[in-house]
Amino acid sequence: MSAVEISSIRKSYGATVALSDINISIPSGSFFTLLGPSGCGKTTLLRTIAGFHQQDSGSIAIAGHKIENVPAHKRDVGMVFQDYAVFPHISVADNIAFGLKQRKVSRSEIQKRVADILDIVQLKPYAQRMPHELSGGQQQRVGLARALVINPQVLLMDEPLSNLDAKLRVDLRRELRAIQQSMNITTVYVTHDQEEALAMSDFVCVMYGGVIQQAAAPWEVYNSPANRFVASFVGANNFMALSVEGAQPAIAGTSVALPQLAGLPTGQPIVAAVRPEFISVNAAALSDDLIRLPVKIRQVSFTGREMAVAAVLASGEEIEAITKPTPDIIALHPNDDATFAFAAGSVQLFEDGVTGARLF
Amino acid sequence: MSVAATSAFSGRLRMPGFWTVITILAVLLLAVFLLLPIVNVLAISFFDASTGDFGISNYVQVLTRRFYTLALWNTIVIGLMGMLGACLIGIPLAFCTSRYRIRGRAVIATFAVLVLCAPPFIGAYAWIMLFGSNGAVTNILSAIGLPAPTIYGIPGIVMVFSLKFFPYIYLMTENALNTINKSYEDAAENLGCTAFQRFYKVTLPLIFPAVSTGAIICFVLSIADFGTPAILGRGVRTLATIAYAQYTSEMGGTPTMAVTVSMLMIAISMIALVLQRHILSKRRYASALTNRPVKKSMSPLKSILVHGFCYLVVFIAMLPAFTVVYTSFLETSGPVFTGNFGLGSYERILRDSPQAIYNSFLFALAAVALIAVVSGLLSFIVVRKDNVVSGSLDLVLMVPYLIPGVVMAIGYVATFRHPPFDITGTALIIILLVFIRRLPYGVRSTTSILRQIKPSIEEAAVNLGASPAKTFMSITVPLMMPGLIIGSLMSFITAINELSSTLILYTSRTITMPVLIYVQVIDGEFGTAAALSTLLLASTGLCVFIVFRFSDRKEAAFV
Repeated sequence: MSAVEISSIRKSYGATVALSDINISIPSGSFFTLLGPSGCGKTTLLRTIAGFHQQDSGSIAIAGHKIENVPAHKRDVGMVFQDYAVFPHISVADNIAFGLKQRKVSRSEIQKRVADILDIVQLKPYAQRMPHELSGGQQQRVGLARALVINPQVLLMDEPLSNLDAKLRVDLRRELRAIQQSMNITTVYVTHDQEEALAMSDFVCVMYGGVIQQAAAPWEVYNSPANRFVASFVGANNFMALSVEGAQPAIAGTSVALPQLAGLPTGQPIVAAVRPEFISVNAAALSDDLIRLPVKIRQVSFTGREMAVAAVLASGEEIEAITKPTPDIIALHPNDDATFAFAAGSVQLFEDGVTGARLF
Repeated sequence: MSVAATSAFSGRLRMPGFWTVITILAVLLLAVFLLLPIVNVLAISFFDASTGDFGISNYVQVLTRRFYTLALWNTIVIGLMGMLGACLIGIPLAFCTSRYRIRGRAVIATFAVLVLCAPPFIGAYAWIMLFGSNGAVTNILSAIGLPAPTIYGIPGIVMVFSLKFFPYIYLMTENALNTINKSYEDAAENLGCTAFQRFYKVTLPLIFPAVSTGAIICFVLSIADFGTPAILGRGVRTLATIAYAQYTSEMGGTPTMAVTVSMLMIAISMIALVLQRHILSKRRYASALTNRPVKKSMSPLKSILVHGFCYLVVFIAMLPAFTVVYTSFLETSGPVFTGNFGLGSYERILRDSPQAIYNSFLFALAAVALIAVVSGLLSFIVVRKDNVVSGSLDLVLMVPYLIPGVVMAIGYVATFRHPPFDITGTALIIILLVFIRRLPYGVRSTTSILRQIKPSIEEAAVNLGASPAKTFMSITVPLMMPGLIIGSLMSFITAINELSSTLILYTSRTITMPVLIYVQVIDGEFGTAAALSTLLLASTGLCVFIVFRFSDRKEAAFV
């Protein structure tokens, strides 16, 4: 049975549709991430599960029990907040014990469970500290411990790492995932950071405009995006208009051979997408099925592990390649002429428009 | 899961939530104790004083009979002149303390706040003791053969109002001047403005919203003030004194004309407020305080002049308070001061009027307790809930600021005199009235602190299983506590000094200190009045001191 079953949830604020017919089924014990830009509805959905927003229609079931009309304080879902929301006027231990006291757990049991969870989040020495004596990362561990200690059916996390600095974010990300896996707790996680989503999740659900664009394993979302929005939001991507007028299809005036086009309906605008890591710069013409486009270099930036080469096509469209740093490429200057090449097989085709459907 | 089980679960009846109940109670409370009395007062004004016919005949009378039109004219002149006087004192003082290094700026600010919080009519009778027909300064001047300036009539009233209300202008303007981005003034200077042009063309427009808000408060308070023109008027009538006189002379009957006159006062206040809002709506300045204004040091001569000005202003404004405290330690024989020092006046107030002292503290504390509880709950609705009620609460809570105490008191008598809800003449009616009149102070304080508490903290408690009521008690209230304490102290200060409404509601059993002081001043009993006023000043000063300790905004918390 699915741990969380969301069916036909809708929510509007006046004329603005925040959630439009959301259907999700989350397997027990999995780490499920809602990913999207701000305003996409991901936080609204999470808060609807927590009971802080009332849906207009639809149902939410946890472990088979419908909860959409249960008041928030009786839902038994743990939540971790973006701004930690650690109660500032009581100690770390009292913060963690708060939910247990609401559940009328015995004093000795509370002591034992608080001690255990403090161990897991590595805050044992801080039990009697006040929250303002802790760093941001430590406060968020308190937030996590407080949500976990009540053994909730589901753990909800609303951008829990986004207020932390970059290095700590990566450390805590690993730790969070490890704790989640060891406790085998079903988790719904909200983030706008696609790298975080890909690194942590069993499933990534990409949202935009209150609509689910794609929900699948990270690998699938990255490599087989369902539409143009997913292709552009998850990972970097280059989009180029594909002209199909006349006999031969062309990108920026260069004829290209794309077997994928066979059988596609003609007469609509088509966009070709290539990930930057599939593009090689000034590669020797080794094979014929490489598509080669003349470009003018805009900027070359060296980031240590790799090079990002930004350039403009003859059509004025921007295109970026990410390659291994080589002396030839480092020597490139703005306005130099160059050739970008990629395999025809790495090209994906989409309908035009922000959420244009995947054609191939 | 089966269909039957589903419908059984989602179809169950839900009890109305905690906050729904509280919201309904809040609406009822404000409807019964704030809006209903006002509606009743308004209704009275539409029934003809002599015939009882429905119509606007009362208003026609007020706007045509010379007795009333003269008072209307006096009221507007006094209101405008008082406001202007307060601006002329407050703005230069604010400019001096915010732009120059002033020694003892804290002393100046503290005095300004004390002036603001002192009982409202102390000024009037203290000035009489100094400059009245038989005043100390008048006698000294006449002894050396100089004519003393008269303190009675419109000039005296305007002077008292200017010196009493300038702290509103001063504190608001100073706050605005301290938060102007200095880069604007630098830019004006860089573009070739002289110092005066810079002030006139850049600084003044930028602080206009704050100045005009302070000015409107001065105007509204000036036209609503009853004690000062009553004591200093000597034949000059204002709408407030007429309303009170008409009401007391019509005791038992319907106070029709008193109410009609009061409505005119409210209309003037509202017009002034709407006018100010209208002007302000075209001036919204967004600015980041990246470049704080610096305080300049001055040449020795300029320094002496500026310091002299600042200290002279607050000294003159504090003069009534000093006079009152000094007078309270003088021995009296009837209305005459014997010239010796002693505690006779204090013995007399403790012997003759313990009831008034006890009542004052009891009523103020009871009202403040109510204010603390209600403002905590109301501010939660205002800040956290997004519905029709929370939207209109802000507006409704402006009403007590605008309605003079006399009007509210008349409304209370008209509303709560029918059995079984007849509470006229009881302590309850005074407590309720003071509570509703001072509620906005409490709500403003708790609202501002609640806006700083993140909603996620409360959501965390709910998420962990605490009911909304439990969350409010165990999480929100402890976090709101500083705001609750400051709000309570502020409302205590205004509650214990309340005069205009209690003067209409009091009986011999429910007399309070301000009422007793007023009665004694009218009777010429300056000694005991001074002792009672000193007691009021001391309790007020103590509260101000505690607010200063608790609040990080210090004197800005008072405006």
